[in-house]
Amino acid sequence: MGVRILIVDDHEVIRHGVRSVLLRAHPEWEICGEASNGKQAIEAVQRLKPDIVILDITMPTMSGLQAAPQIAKLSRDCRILIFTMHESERIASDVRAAGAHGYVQKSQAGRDLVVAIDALLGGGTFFGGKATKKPEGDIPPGVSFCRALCCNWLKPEPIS
Amino acid sequence: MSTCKVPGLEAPFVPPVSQIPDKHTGHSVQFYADDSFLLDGLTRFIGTALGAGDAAIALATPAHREALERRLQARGLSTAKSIRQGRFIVLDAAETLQKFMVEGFPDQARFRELLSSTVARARAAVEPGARVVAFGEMVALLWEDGKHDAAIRLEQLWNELGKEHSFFLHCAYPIKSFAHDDHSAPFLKICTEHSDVIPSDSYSALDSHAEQRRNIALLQQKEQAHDALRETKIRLENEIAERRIAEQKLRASERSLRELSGRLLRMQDDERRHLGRELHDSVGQYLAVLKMGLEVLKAEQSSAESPEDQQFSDCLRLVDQSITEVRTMSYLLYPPMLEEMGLEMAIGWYLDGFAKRSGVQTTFDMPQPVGRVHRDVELAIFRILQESLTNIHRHSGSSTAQVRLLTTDNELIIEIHDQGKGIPTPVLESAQDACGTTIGVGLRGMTERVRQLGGRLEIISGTTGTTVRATLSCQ
Repeated sequence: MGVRILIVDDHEVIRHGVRSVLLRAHPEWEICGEASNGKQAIEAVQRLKPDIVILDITMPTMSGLQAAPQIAKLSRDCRILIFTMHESERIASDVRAAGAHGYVQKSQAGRDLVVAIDALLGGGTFFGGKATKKPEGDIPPGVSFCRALCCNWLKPEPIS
Repeated sequence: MSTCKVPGLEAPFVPPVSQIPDKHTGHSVQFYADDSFLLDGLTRFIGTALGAGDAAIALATPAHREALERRLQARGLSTAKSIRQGRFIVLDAAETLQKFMVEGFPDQARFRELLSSTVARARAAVEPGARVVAFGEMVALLWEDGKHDAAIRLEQLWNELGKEHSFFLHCAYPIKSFAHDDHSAPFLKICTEHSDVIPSDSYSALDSHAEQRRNIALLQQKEQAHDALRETKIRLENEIAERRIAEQKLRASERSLRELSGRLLRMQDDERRHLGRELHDSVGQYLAVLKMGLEVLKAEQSSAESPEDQQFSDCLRLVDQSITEVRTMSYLLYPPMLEEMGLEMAIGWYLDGFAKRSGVQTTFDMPQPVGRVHRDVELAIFRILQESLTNIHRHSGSSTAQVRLLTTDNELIIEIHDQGKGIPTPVLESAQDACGTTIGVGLRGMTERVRQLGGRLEIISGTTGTTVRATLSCQ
């Protein structure tokens, strides 16, 4: 089973850009859906059961930081990557507090996006431009978090 | 009947000196400033009558009745005996008045019935040819009660009674109850209802003709001064009225100015928000996507040293710079996350960026979580923080700043504290005035913003630092 990715951003041009960056790096990854606000994202996670949600922060109706805790509650298997224009020292703690597993600045998409997704798929996190792997997590790249869990490659990370 | 024109006496009229006329009929009036002056004359008036075997009627206040009887007894007259003989009739002025007053006015029939029988009773108690004298101050009570027309009417009723019965009536009014300008006309009317007018103590007590003429001249002089005073008073009253109108106009224009500045603030906020959002939502996003595209293309370039690669790197650097500029501009125009996530996160993020841009180290303390409040209040708190931090960076020389966000039941308080050199007093004062420096303008903006929301702004500034505290209602 391939990696399933949900892209959530209110800008079509961004969703398009992300899609092309990801598919160039990993043609085998599947962009299983797109959404343009937090509410739609929650609904899409329930319906599509993605392995990764790429979640923008500033969106109409419901922001990414509001949607993240609900997505985390809905599915422990789903890894959440905040993808934002914003830049702030505090962003890391706010993103963690929202239950997301990492964040990438939009301006650093080319450098960080794929690396971050790889880290998250491997059960690790991605904050401040750096990936953190799980200590026991000797997981081959491209293996989904849920599969890693099933194969006992790693233990579930407690959600703060 | 003599006519009295007080105070501008024209005829060389000289009333009997401190004496009530000693006649069988007539109607005199006395004005008095001092009770003892009235009682002296009254004691003489009644005492002379009783002593001569005449009849006397006293319609007086309890105080005057009591004092009169005491003085008469002191002169060796037995008032009790005279009362027994029926030739001294003592009545309470207020009680008697009540018996014939109907709806605040003396009733002619009732007056006549009551007083006619009283005078007749007195008349019957003495030998034929003896006098009947009466003292009355019911008119004075009416006058003091503000019932001026009723007082004049009662004087006329007495005069009508004087046509039926032969008696001499003496009335008395305290002069202090004629202290108003408007009293001139009714005062003259009262004088004309009497056959004799006795001016108050200061005049009546004078005993030479020359002294009385001097006194008249003095009164004329006083009248002149009084006229001048009256004119000044009218002028002042007009001036006050004009000022009141001017004040009203000023207040109205202040109000409209305040409304205008409120509208300007709102417009500015809306405009900034729109611009900030637009920069973040369109230009920022396009630049991010542009960079993604460039990076993908760059990765696909085969040789790392080619001129195209250099070109790509330059483009990427420019895009990076643009992204940073746009982000900073959009953050300054409208705080990111304020609308989505509220004050706590927006302040945290802003302080981060501020520290990076300015080098001022900031701390943020929020003892209790602050929930969401009205958008305008959140924005005002944020703008005050922004303005204060800008002032700290530009003017205070402080390298540190502390921000506290406090909440009570219904108020939200933001405190920004620095360790700088303080705001000069003139600048602080100019925050309230029309003109000011750059900080002054900023402070005035804060003041206005807080005022628009009905809150308060305190600025405590000294040589060791400044504290700006804004308190806003969050209901």
